[in-house]
Amino acid sequence: MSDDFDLRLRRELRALADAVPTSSTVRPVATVVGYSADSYGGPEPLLSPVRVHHRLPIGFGAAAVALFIVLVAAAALSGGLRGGRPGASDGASAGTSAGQSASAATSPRADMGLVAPVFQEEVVLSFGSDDLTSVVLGPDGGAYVLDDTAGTVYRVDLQTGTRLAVFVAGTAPISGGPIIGKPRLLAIGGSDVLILDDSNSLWRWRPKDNAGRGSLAQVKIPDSKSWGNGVRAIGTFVTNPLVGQYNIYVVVPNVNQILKYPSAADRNSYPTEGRSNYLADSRDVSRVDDLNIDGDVYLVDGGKIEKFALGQADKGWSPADPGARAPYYTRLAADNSALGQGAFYAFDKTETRIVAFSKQDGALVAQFVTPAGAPSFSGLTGMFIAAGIAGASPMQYPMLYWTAGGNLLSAHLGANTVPTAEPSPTATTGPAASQTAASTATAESSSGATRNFTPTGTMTSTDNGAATPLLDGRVLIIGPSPTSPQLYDPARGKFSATGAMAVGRIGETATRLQDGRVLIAGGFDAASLMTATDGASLTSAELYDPATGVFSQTGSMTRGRSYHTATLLDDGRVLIVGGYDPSMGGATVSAALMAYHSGSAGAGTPPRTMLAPGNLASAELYDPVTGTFSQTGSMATGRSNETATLLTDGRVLVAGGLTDGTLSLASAELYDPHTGKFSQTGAMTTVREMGVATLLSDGRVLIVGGFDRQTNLSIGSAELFDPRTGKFSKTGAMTEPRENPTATRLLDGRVLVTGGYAQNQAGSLASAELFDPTTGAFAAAGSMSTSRENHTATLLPDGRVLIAGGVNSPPMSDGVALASAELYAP
Amino acid sequence: MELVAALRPMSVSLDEAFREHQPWLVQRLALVVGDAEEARDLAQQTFVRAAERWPFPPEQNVPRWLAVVGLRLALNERRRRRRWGFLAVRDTDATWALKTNPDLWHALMSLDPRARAALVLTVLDGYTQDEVAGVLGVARGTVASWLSRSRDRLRPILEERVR
Repeated sequence: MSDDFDLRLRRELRALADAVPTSSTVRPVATVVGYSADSYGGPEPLLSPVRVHHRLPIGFGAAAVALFIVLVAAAALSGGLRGGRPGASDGASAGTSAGQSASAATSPRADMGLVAPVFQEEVVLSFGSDDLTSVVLGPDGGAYVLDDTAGTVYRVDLQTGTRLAVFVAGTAPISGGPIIGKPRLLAIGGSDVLILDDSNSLWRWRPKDNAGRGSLAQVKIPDSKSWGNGVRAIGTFVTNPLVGQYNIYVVVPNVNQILKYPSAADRNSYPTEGRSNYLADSRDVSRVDDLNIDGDVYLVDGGKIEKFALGQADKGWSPADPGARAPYYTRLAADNSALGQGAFYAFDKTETRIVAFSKQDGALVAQFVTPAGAPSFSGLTGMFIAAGIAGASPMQYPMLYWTAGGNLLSAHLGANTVPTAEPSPTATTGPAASQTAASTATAESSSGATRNFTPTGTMTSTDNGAATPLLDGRVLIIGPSPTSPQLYDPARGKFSATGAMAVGRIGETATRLQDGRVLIAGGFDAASLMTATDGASLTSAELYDPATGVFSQTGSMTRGRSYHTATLLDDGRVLIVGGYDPSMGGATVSAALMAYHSGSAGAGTPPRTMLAPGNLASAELYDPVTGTFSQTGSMATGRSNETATLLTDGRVLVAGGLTDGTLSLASAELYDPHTGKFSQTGAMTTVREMGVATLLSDGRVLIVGGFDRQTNLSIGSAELFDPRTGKFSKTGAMTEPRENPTATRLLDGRVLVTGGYAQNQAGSLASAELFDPTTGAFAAAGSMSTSRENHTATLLPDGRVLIAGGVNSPPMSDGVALASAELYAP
Repeated sequence: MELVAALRPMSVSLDEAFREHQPWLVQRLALVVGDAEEARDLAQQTFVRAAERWPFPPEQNVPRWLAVVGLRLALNERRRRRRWGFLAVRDTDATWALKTNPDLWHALMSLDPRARAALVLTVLDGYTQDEVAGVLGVARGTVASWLSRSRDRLRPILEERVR
């Protein structure tokens, strides 16, 4: 029975095999002579000139085959074809689409978790006084600042930076009433700003409009004089949002209590009969600095933050340890007033940082420091979080406003990492956990992802290519269709479509300019590849403006390029290097290549220009001021899929790539923007295509993985380039060979390597690893939820990494394009 | 005379090798990648690589070398073609298969390409499972499991056809 089956199988398979048309009827010369998708390096399957064949006359192919045989035979007769590579040491490799990694502006302390620098710090308003003691966000969108020296509460318009005194000691309200004392404390209650003065009179400022008009009246709390002069803080809790009714909580050390005052029906008086002790157990509250009430009460007491539910201390809740020195918190602000939702932001005065943690479980979300030279959190006396003040900023990320010295300041905190509206796995995962390989390895979730990888929103399409971090923290991802551009918003954890490109691109670069716009250059016209008609690289370039979400044309490159590199130089120009243009390839070039390999071209150096079918040695510069490209010096070797890395001294390291359409390179060159010239530098320890280069914080360059065309194997080794010596040296090897992985420098200086492809092994990889520059070693860093290659990884301002899209390709299988994305939290 | 005779065949044998081996290599590759056009490309690339190394040492098993390189190229080519999220670039060139045995063809195409490669090498060329493991660079046990699953998948097709 089985024998019958085997016989039948063999017979039928053979019949199928015999039916295969083995000789081509239509075939372009270029393809025949070893110049097709595979002989060009790396990720350009579709660019294969093979696709042209539909247009060629029948019979063309036979001639090409003949040409091939003639060449081979001639070569053989003239002494045998040699493996004549122009030296295995003369190559390099690598290249990825732009934006695979982004690095931070600062290098925060390594012993602090999830550190992100704030950005766009600015002084909203400088007061004459240097004694601002408190600030709250009013219900009218203005900031209310307490100026202790002036004895005044000002309303500051956050859009114009203008101030208006609304509460001045020594005056009386227009509507009549007692003389106003010196303001001491501020709070927000419903639609009121509450002000406690130094005679324990509580006042409410009720804004009428958004222009600073409103009314001031005294809140009727008959026993307020009994609080004494040591009241530490005041809080409110809205009990009836429809009418703006709220309870008042007062932290009174005199009675070791938080006194709770329910509002009377008139919503303006708080009769003594209603008063109660909030705390079930009286305690010393003389060191309380702040409180926040969302239904539960959070008390900042003696530098620590404690939670109380129904008056009982919740011992099960505590903010996560943010690392570094023990924090001493003095101020607390929330980005969401709903019970248990959103994040708290607390000011730690020992490390002068803002620590954000989940309200729900206290898990560390992020922490923020100010970059050197920027206005500091030092001396912070008050603060609030504004996620979306209309007109205050086009950005959607939490803005922190704070008072320090005589200034009201603001800064973007980067992404708000705890979704406020819809709790997701991101919100409940403790991102600070699983720092070590051991803990991540055992923390597998059911999806296969380890807990430092969590899913985030789904992309708008599987057409995803280059990812570029925008200045405001969002991430632009573009791909092979004109409508593919999409933005990832870390605050919402979602992707959404943005403007359309003039043309869908494959193998393009995307580079953020200094002004925040994004330059998209070259690549293949994806539509023409799809219809299998043409394979020319594009010269065109476009600019994306994040402010308008619109793509517009800019100047064109001097020649078509795909799988080139684009590097933002320190002077704001963009260096475009090498790449691939099939229109340069073809029979002549390939024939020359064959002639070289055959030895018939004579001994010595190969004629480079002839021998670089489509791999370009030229380079050009884009000037964002003029919007034009111009030629600059050329490399010694044509390269595509090379890596290019801006060094700290302003030069650019170009390493590896594919040359001659067939050879992986180990060689590297340095571009000097001052001279506009390339010079040779040391070669890598191995050839690499589709490796990835990352600038380390110490100025060295880490190059990982890649593909060795000569052996047809993926590369697991890694090496370091030292700009001081101009040499590469081996460093620790990765745990798996990877071609086309991502490599992203984290805020703490380590490098996260994810995914990629392992030839003849697992295919696409889900695993990740971390390179530690201090030890030079890689360690496993958990697994993504799915295997990915040709994906992107982008550092977010809060220190997490967005990993998006790519393809999941089992070995020898077609692979599936991915629309999923996930977040890595260090 | 002896010396010349020993050298001459070696120098012309790449041409002969091409004539001798190209057809079967294309057949195998077509069954693996599912597309005759692509298979011819792959075979062509395989011979370009052979040309770079020619002449092979006498002990070199030329068909095996071609099979190894050809199938590994096939592996890359498939992957590279798909890794960009592009699906069919053009219609698959498989009319020859659909005219011959459409049921078997569809069943074959439903298999993992690696399994197809293992099947082709064992059934058509008599490679042992160990040899297939060497060619594809995987463990022998993996090959055995591919073959077992492939046969299970193909069995109903072929037996139904007999009935």
